[in-house]
Amino acid sequence: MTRKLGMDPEHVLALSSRLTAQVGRLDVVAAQVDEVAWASLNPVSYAIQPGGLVIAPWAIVGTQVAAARVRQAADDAAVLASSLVFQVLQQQAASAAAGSSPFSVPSVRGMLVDAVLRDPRLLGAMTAGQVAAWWASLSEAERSRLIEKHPLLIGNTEGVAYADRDRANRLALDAMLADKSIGGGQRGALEAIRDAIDEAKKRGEPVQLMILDFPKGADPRAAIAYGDLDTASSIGILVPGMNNTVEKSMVSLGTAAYNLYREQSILLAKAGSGESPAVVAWMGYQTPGAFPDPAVLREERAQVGAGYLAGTLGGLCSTLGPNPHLTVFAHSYGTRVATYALSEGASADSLVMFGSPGIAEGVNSVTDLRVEPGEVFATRADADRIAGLGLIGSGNLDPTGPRFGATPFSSEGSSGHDGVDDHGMLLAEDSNGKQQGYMDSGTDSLRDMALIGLGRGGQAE
Amino acid sequence: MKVRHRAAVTGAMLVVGFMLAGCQTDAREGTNMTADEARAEMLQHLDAVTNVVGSEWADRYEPAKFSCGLSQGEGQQWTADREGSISGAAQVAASAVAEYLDARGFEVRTRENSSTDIDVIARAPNGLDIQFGAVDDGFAYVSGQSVCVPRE
Repeated sequence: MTRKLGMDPEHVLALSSRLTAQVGRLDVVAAQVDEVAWASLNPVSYAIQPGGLVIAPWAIVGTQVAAARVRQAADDAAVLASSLVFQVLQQQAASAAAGSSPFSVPSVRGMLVDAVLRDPRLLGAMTAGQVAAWWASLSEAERSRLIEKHPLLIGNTEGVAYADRDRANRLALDAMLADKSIGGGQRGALEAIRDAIDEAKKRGEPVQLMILDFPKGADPRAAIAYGDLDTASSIGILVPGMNNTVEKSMVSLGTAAYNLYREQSILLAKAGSGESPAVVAWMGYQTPGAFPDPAVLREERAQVGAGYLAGTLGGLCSTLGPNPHLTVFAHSYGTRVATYALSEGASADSLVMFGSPGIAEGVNSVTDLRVEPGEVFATRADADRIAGLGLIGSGNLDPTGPRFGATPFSSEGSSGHDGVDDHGMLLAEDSNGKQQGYMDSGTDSLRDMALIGLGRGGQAE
Repeated sequence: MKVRHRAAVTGAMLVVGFMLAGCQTDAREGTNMTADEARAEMLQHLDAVTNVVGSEWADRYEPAKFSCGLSQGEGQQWTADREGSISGAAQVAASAVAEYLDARGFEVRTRENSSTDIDVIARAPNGLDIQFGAVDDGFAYVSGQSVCVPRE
C-alpha cells in the first residue's frame, strides 16, 4: 500500500481558501468598527436616558455585533488551525509507521492527547471514524485525563466509546447541577435528565447518558440509552415529534424507550439468546410546538434535526461497525426528521414510522431512503386523529399509504385494551378514561416494533 | 437486589380457594385509592399469578413508584417485574393465569405468538395492568402496573 507523505494539495487549498474567507470576515468587522467610530463623532448618535445617563445606542449595538463576529471568526479559524495540526500529526504518523493505524505510534498518540488537552477543538477536525480509532488506542489513564479536562466535549464527540461518553456526560451533569448560577429552563432540563436516569436506576437497568448538549440559541439536547451501546446486538433510536423538550419530555421519552427495551429483552430471553438490546431516548433536536405553532408546518426544525440525527447514526456506525442492528423509531413530526436524515446521507438497517402526519419533502418512496430493502415499516392507528389531520389537505405523503412502499403493521390490537387510541407514545388519561399510546406495554404495536428492532420484522403483523 | 419468590403450596391452595370462591377484584375507581393500596393490590395479583404458575421467580427490581398522567394532573403508580421459568407447556401456564385474572374481573387477552410462546395481557376495571408470558419449558415473566393515583 502506498502512503502519501506530504499534505494532500487539494485539502490544503480548501483549508487555505476557508482561512482566507475568515480573514475577509475580519476585514468586514474592521470596517464596521470604523463606521461605529465615525458615528460616535455625530451628536445625533447619542441619547439621554432617565437619570441623565448618556448612551449611544447605535454604537453599542454595532460594537456588540462586531465583537460577536470577531469571536465567531476566531473560533472558526481555530478549528481550521486544529485541522491543520491534525493533518500534520497524521502525516507524522504515516511517516513513522508502516502499520495501518497512525495511532499505533505511542509518541504520536501522546502528542494528539496533549494537543486535544490544550485545544479540544482539534476533535472537531477529526471524523468520527478517526476519533474511534484514536480513542480505542488510548490507555485508561489517557482517557480519564481527557474526560476530566473536557467532559462535555468528550461526552458529545462521535467516535468516543459510549461508556466513556456516559462517564464524561455524567461528570458534566453533576457539575452543572451543583452550579447554583444555572437556573431557568437549563436547570429544568438538567433536572429532567437526572430524573430520567434515576428512573432507570429504579428499574435496575443499565443506562448511558449519550448526549448532553446546550447549543446557543436553541433548546437543550440530550439522549439517554437503556442498555449498553458498546455491546448491544441491536440499537433503536427513538425520535420524538412535536411539542417535546428535554425539560418536559425526557422522563416520558425514557419510559417509552424502556418499554421497547424491555419488550426486546423479553423476546430475546424467550428465544434463549444471550444478546442484549439498547434503546435510545433521543431528545436530540428542537421540536416544533403543537399547532398553531407555524414551525410545525415548516421544514426547518426537521432539517436541522436531521443533521443532528445523521450525526448520531454516523457516530454509531463509525464507533461500533456494522454489527448492531440499527433501527430508527420515528414518531409524528419525528418521521420528517428521520426521512430527511435517511434520504440525505445517513443510513440505518430499519426504519419504523408511527403516527406520521407526513414525511420529508422530496421523499416519495422507500427507495429514496438509505434503509435495507424491505426494512421500512409504518403504522397509524385509526383513532390517531392528530396524525390524520396532518395529512388532510396538506399534500404531505402518508408513509402508510401503498404508494410509498413501506410494510404496514397494525396498531389496532384485537381487544378493547390493546389497541392504540391516541396519538401519543404513551398512555394518557383524559375525561374519556385511559388512552393507549403506540409504545405502551401490552400493545401489539410495541411488540411489532420490538421485533422489527431485532431484525425480525417478518414476524410483525 | 434480587428477591427470591418460591411458590408455596399453601399459597397455591389459597389462590385456588379464592378462585373457587369466585372472589372479584374490588372495582373501585383508581383515583380513590392511596398509593399504598394501589401497590398492595398490584403485588397481591403478582403473587397470585406466580403461585398459579409455580416455580421460582426473581424480582428484576424492587417494586418502584413512577409518575403517570391523570386527567386532573400528574399522578403516581407502582410497577413490578419478575422473571422465572416454567416446566411444561406455556399454553397450560397461560391458561391458568388467564383463568385466574378473568375470574377477578380483568379483561383478558391471550396472545399466541407461536404454539410455544404465549402472552396474557390483562386490565382490571380500575386500570391495573398485569402481563404474563412464557415459552415451553423456558423463560417466563410477569409484570404489573398499578392503577394511577393522585400524588399524596
